[in-house]
Amino acid sequence: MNDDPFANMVDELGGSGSSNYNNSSTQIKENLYRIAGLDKPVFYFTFSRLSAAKPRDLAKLPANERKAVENWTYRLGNYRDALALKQLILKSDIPDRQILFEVIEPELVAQNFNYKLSYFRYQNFIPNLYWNGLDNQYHSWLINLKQGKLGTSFASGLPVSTVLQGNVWLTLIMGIGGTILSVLIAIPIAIFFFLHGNSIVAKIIDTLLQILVVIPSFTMVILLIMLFAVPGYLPSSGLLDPLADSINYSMFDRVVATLPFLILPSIAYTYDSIAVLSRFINTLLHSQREQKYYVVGLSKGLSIKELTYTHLLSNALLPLFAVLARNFPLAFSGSIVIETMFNLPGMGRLLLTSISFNDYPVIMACVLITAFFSCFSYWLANDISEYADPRLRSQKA
Amino acid sequence: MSKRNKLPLILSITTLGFFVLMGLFSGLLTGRGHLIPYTPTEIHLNDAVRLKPFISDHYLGTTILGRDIAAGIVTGANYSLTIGFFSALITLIIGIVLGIMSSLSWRVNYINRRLFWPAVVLSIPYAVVSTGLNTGVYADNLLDFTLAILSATCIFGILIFLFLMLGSVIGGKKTIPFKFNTSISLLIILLDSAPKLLLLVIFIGLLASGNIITLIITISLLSWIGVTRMIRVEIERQLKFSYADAAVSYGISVPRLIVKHILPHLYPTLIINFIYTFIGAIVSESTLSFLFAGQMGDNVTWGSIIGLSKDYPDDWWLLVVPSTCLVLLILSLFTVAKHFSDKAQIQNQYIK
Repeated sequence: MNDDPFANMVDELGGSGSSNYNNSSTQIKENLYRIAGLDKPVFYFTFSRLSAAKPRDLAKLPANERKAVENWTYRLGNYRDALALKQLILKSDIPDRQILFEVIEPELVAQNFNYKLSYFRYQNFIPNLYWNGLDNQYHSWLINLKQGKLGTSFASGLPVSTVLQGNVWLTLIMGIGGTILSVLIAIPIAIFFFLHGNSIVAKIIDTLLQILVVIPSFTMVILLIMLFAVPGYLPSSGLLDPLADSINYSMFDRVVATLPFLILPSIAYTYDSIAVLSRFINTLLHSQREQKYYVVGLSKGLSIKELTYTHLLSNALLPLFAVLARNFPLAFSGSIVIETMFNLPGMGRLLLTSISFNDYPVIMACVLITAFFSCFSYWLANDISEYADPRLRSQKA
Repeated sequence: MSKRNKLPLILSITTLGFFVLMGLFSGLLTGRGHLIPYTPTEIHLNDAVRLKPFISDHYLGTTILGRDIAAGIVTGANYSLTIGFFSALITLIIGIVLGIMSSLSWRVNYINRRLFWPAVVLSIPYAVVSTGLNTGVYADNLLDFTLAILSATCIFGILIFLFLMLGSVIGGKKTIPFKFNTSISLLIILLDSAPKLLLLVIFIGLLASGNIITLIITISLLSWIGVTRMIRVEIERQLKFSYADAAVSYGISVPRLIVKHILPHLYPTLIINFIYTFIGAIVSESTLSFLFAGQMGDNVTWGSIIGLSKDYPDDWWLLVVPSTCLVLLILSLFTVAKHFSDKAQIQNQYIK
């Protein structure tokens, strides 16, 4: 990987790899940068150690010249000298002058052109702040966002919204479904712990859960693939059999055919939250035993089982919303490993591929969506717990 | 405490000590003429040695390139533990400083609450990619990398502040006093609004560098949130006790009270936080080297060995050996942390 999203594209357009420094390919690259808006500065201001170098001017240079000028500025502590050396090289008519851009010692280049360096090094150590104005990448991104545009993907050339459309749903459904599934499994386990905490079965399950918490998700994913997919019990790649895809299925059949593909990913999504949540709900249930209504219920002759199902559970589960709201965003980061490994067309896999292409618009959009849903879930959790627990409302007022 | 309760602790400290010794003396253990007669990056391409479970002096098997896994495990322990220890240390220092600062209140300005969430949502992607862009240029220069991340963090804060000030200019009626505490909690919520691992994957993926210092800085700059929050809550809880009141009535200043009298009470909490950050850093590091196996330099780590088993799911030792080490290390750290949390609980009963 490199930090240049257009390197491959330009290589294809401009011929072989060695022609990177040709004038034509440099021209193409500059044009691509201009179209993508990458020649602009990143933000309203820049904070840089290249004190004398204006980052705005620096960003406009083609990649190889920019790198050289940057390196030389570091060496000399003086941007003006570095720029002058660059101009000298461009003006000269040495046949392979582009090689000079790769020379690390600017002193050698200066000697070559009889240029007198002004050794002015102290500027290297003063970080400077530059005001770039409104013509910057963030501002244009914000303005585009206001108009509902997320930009164009560098890798595919399609609008980012089109690229995302096919991918967001799976991650969201897996996230929400995984959260609900883990709660539905964790509650019975927690109740079993609460009622029969001292039995041997409970202790065995507890130890098992303790080990499950510790296993990192990427290990779990490969373990699942090894145990179930390699012997051929369950499919492990994609969402639908490519053969089945060609048959004219109805919607219902399609869903049924997809289900086996989702078994392993959903285990990978939920195993650790089941372990964490069941222990958490168990402590919540135990904390309710100190409440007065528990003692009253016992003295009225209710059994512990009846009390648990009718009174304890509804009271104990109130703090759960906050925990679920914190768990939900983790589905987005968890999806990176799981979707990549199970080859599911979701946002996590998209993010990883766009990172390897340095596809900034897609990365920005992915993070925007993640941030949006995280904030939304925090807000929702706040509202739901206020709705469910009138005591919180009265506290606030 | 009964004798039965101490057995897991002793076992886990032994395991931990084993891994620490392995990591410390990784240079002495691997290489020709040592206990493991191979270096982790050494390649043996003949078919008798490639991708075999346990043969003669390859004690834990070999990878597809014929690299010795035992040597990889030893140097991987060094890599993981170094990253875990130093990022936990830096995180703890940042956490203590910010925690103390945020438990003191300095009134600065007034801001609007209504624009807060939009501000968070809008500034996060920018911050991520700008750091990526900045550091992409400076990936080889450590000082500039640090500066880029620091400036991105500054920009986060300034951006949010600008949004909120804008809100109060436009005319929201609901304002809250802007304390230093508020600004830190703004930063916390901001970094919290995207999962840590997601940001880490983007940063390190764009950097494509396995440089140990880069990883430590990135991990610790992303994981101080929990520690800061915990320390702030603990300090605020301790400030309500009567010993704090007594000290204040003697005329001691609040910062001095916090540093001299409250911090010593927090040491189990600090150690628990240290261990949890340690675990988080190790898991993040191995997830990164799993995802970007081969792209993050030539380091052999536990995560990168597990990453190899993506392509060879039949060869179980590629998964089992490093995973067992990882799970054992995390499990023993958890057990030690649990010991300290029990201690903290007992201690809390006596503070008044």
